Amino acid sequence: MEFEKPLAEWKGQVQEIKLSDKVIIGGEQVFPNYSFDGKCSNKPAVAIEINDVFPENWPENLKEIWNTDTLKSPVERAKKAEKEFGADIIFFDMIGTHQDRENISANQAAENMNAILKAVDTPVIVRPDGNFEKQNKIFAKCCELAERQIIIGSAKEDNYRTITASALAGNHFIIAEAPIDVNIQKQLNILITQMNFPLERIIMDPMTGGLGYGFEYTYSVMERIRLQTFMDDPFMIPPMVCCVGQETWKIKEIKIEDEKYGSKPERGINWETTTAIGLILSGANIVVVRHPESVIKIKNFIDSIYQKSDCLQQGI
Amino acid sequence: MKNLKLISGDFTKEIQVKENTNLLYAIQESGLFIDAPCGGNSVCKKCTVFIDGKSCLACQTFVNKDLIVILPEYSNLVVEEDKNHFIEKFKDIKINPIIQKIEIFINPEERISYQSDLEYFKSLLKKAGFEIFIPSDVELLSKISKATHKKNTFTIYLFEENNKYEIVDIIEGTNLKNLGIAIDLGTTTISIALLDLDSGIFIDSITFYNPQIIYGADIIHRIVFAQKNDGAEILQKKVLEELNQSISSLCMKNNLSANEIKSVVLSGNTTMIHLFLGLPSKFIRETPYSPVMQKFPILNSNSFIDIIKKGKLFVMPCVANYLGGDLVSGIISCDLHKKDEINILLDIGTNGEIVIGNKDWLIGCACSAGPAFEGMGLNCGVRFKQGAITEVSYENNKFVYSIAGNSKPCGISGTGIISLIKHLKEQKHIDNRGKFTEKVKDKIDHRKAFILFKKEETFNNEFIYVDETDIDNILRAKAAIYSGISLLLKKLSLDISEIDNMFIAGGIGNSLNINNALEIGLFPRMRKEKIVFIGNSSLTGAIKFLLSRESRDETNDLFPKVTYIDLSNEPSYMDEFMAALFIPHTNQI
Amino acid sequence: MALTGLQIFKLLPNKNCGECDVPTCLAFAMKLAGKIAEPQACPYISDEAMEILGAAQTPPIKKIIFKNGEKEISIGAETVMFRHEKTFVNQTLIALEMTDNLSAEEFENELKRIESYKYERVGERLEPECISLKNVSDDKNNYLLKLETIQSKTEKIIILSDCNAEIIKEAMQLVDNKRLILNKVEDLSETLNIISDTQTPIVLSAKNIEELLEKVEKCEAQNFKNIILSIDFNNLNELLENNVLLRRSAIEKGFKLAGYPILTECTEEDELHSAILGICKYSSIVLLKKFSGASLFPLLTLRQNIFTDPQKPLQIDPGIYQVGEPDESSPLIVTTNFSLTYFIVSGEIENSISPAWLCIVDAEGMSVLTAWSANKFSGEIVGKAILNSGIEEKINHKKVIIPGYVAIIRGELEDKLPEWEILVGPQEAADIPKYLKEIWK
Repeated sequence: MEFEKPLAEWKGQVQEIKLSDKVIIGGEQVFPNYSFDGKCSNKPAVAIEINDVFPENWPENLKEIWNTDTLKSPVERAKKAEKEFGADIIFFDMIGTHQDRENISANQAAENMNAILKAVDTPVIVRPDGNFEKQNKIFAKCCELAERQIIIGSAKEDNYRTITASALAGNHFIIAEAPIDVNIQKQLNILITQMNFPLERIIMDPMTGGLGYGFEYTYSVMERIRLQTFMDDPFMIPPMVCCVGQETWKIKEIKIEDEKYGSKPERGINWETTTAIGLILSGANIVVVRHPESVIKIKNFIDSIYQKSDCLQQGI
Repeated sequence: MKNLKLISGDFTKEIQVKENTNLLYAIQESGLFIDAPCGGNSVCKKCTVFIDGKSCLACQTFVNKDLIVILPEYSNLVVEEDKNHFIEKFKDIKINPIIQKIEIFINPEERISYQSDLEYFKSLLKKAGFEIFIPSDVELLSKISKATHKKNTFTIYLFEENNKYEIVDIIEGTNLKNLGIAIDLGTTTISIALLDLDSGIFIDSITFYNPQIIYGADIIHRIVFAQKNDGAEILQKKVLEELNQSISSLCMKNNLSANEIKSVVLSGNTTMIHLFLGLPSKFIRETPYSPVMQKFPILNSNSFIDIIKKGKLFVMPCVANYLGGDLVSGIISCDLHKKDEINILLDIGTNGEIVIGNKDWLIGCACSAGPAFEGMGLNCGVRFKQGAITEVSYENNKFVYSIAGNSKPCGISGTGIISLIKHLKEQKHIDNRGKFTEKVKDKIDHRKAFILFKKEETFNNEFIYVDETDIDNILRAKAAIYSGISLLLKKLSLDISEIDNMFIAGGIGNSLNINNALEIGLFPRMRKEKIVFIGNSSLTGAIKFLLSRESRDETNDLFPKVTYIDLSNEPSYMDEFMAALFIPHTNQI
Repeated sequence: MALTGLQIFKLLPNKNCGECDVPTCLAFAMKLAGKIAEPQACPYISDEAMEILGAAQTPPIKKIIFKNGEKEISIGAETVMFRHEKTFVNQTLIALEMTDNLSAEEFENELKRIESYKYERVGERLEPECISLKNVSDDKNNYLLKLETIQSKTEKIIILSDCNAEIIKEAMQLVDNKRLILNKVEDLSETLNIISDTQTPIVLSAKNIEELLEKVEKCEAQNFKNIILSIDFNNLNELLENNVLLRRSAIEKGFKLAGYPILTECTEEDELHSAILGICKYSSIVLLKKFSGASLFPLLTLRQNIFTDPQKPLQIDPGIYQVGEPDESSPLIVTTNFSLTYFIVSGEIENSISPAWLCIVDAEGMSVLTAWSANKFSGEIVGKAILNSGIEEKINHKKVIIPGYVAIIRGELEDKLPEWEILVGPQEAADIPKYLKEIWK
């Protein structure tokens, strides 16, 4: 029987961003992953999260696979993430800068960042923690002192000016984070570009609701963002990043002791993988995870879904 | 007892209070208004007054000696509406007043023996062409009886129902007037118009704050207050007292007698009407969100407004819990229900109300805009009056302010802040979200603020400024209105370009600059010529109801036809609202 | 094409009689446009209008109803491509495969394991609802014996897989037809004869869409309605493409042959992946070959999330939640059970890095201010929730932080909780860290 494929026409294109020679994200000319409709040039990238301090709150099984000693050294973690675990991008979450934690100073934070930048070849996303005042100091320092181009986060609607000005001066990328809201996301993109920051250097973080904890909001908001991209909305073209690991390894479902639901590590990996894949399906260009097994599984998925398309190989 | 002298602008009031009376309470009892949204918990700091040149919170002050208290200027708000505006509106109306007045000559000498007074009276009226109902009011029966034994001309006021007439009053003499009162009972302000129904002449009007404000700025807070012990009684008493007083001063001012007022038409949102009538308001706010009734009975005026002793009180019917008679009045006022083309009626008040429709259908919703456009709830907000900053422009690298009247500035009005926001945005003092940029460096109370006038330049020696919460207040109000309109349009799959006219009603009315309103995104972008200001349409509609039979019939046909959309049940409303919380709009950059 | 509310309104009598239980004709028209009312509800509707509206009302994807114990489960009846446009109507069923070559004891144990797999979440029981019994033994009696076991020990829907007409005929005597799906039948035309009266749902599988649609056409010609589609795939790209194109054909192009639910047989090597894809992208049944407790749990949760009606605020279970690891002196914060509110408030408490107890009050899934406006978050209700939560045994203080937007309930709450100190927190969640740091200590 004759079957004429009902292919869809999509206007517009996701901004393609070259983060390094090897890592290029975005650029799809059709709804995410719909390579049968048209061109999806670049595979989504998988980033691994590392911290500037020992991650006390991680579950034991996750700490074990990383090795406790490695976890104590940000640089060792970064190297392991890149070389052993195959991270396309390193996500450097500086939780130690929070004023009520280790309260690491802005100068020290910039130094820590540069150590990571030196240790790995991948692009690095840098994100400080703390109140706005503290974060603003770190944004300024990191953008000023970074020894190579970084991706700095997160600009929010109530705190985007310092980071934007700093990243503009230092020629860095910005992560624009909105609280699971299409409109606020677009507003934030506009606000940032109104400071003459190029839209081509923005990556959106729609904020990830963990699976079972608001996942569906993120999922639909991302779909809506992309539908808007392809209705040729000029402010909705940046690629998207989703921080999956942070929303996975804290929830109670992966801490339940009951063999019926599989072993805890396996359940955690599957939870992280399922969340990440779900979000890739709704348009994530970067997913940030914690477990090396998740990286493998997610990459398998990406390879299988990008089988036919003429996309570039991501990462190493 | 202690003497209190309360001064607000050029108005002074002296009262006596018991020792140790709370000053906030005393001011509220005096009939003057002071904003205290926190209810006297020393939280909102709005009830600041001056005693001996020092500022203090009225709610934390107790009267233990004679005091002279300087109140904020807004405390004594009296605004006269522009008469010409109204007169223009009613010139084409075919006058057929709700209460008719006839004069009858009574000559007891002609009477047949043994016929009762009433039968005689009936026959007289029948001869004049009026078949009457038998009055059930004993006082009125006595008046009739007396009249039938006196040789003179009497003026009789009649109310027609199904071709039979009810006698409203009978007064000895000729050349009496047939006066009518239209009331717009708003959440924040009340307007009263006085009319001569025989000629259709608009005599006078007055606007003042709703005295219930002290018990809550919006309808939800009023309903909550009404649930408390005596709460409902207090709210009703407050508003009735104020109405009595205002109507009597309006009459005095125009040398008219309140006795000649025979009809009152009351228009207002559902909550205000319920509180006025003393009906339970609880379920306006709670499931099943039910008003007591949609169409209210015709009442005797003196049960509510005692200075109108023998008269009829008509209440505009409401559509739903949050879509009231004020909007039905509005529809009548601009003939939305008669037009072939699709039009929008937008009533900007404490509750923004929106109706879209034509002669076949009407659909409406209400959104909570808050009192910001009426100058309330802002740090330095005032209603339109002397000394109000009503318009801002930017010339030669400077902000230039237009001030109403020949006075030092005393605050900023709703239209003033709208035009200020427009220019702040243009000059990059704020971003599209209304947050200050680096260009604004001043601070007041540790918060960033844009200062319009320094202390020494103003009427009350206080800074006139705007901070981010003020701007946010306006943005939320405008977003509520914009999103209400866009949601209704989406529900109907209509585009704004398919709308013929947008009628804008409400206190903000004529003084609003359309360009500014479009620049800040008060409503969806449309051609300027399509926007028509119609002033206080709730009052206008009520006046039409008084004057025109056609309008009365239409009102009764109309209200069941309006489809009510409850925005809180609309999942996409929040989305529309967030999109509109941007200057001018997220999708309009 | 779907009609708009105003277009439908013009077909209605405009009497505003309210006999359809909607106050006005326009309101009724908008309900019809939103497909939440039936045109028959209008007693005065014209025949012509009925014809136009009736056609517009049939969902583009066939609905198939099953019996699952006492309740009914449906698949299909979908109307949109993206869930935010309205909702995905019937959630993807999850099927687990069992083979008939296990010993009776092994089989029963495995069945027990499957049957016991359930998890209660947000008032919903998450469990796989189908078992696919694969005929490996090619021994009719053995197969039917195993089928009998499933039929008597569970209430799950049963997929008969790899069976010939003879087995199917007997199986249908054994099991309620409302619980059956036929998959991979050996002889299609013979099977169709057997089920022509019962209309037992049958899976048509093919190598590609063209081949599949030919089969559908044949079945339709034989007046067969309960069709389920299945296409083989070599990689996930093909699976995605087939599912999207079928859904698009049915919904956007109104192509009737494609308007049936889809079954996806997950391949063993990337079972989790294909199941995720199936759940997110339009499969009505995903069939898992391998039963893995660790995969099933996130899949069931994913399914629950994806099929949540986005038009209804998602609620979370009321009660006490721990954010971080709070102890007896940690603060107690109260808010509503709207899941987005919970998500944002708990997120901000996490940001503060000071652990806290979060008391979630049942406010029918409304946000704080909306709930208060409608009297669902009054002092009375909040007080009762705190007293019934058992939090008093977990903390050594009697202080509770209420959202700043509802400062007004403080007095009422003090009446309800006379021994407690009621603290008014910030209006916006973003200010919680600052509040906890500056005020709480």
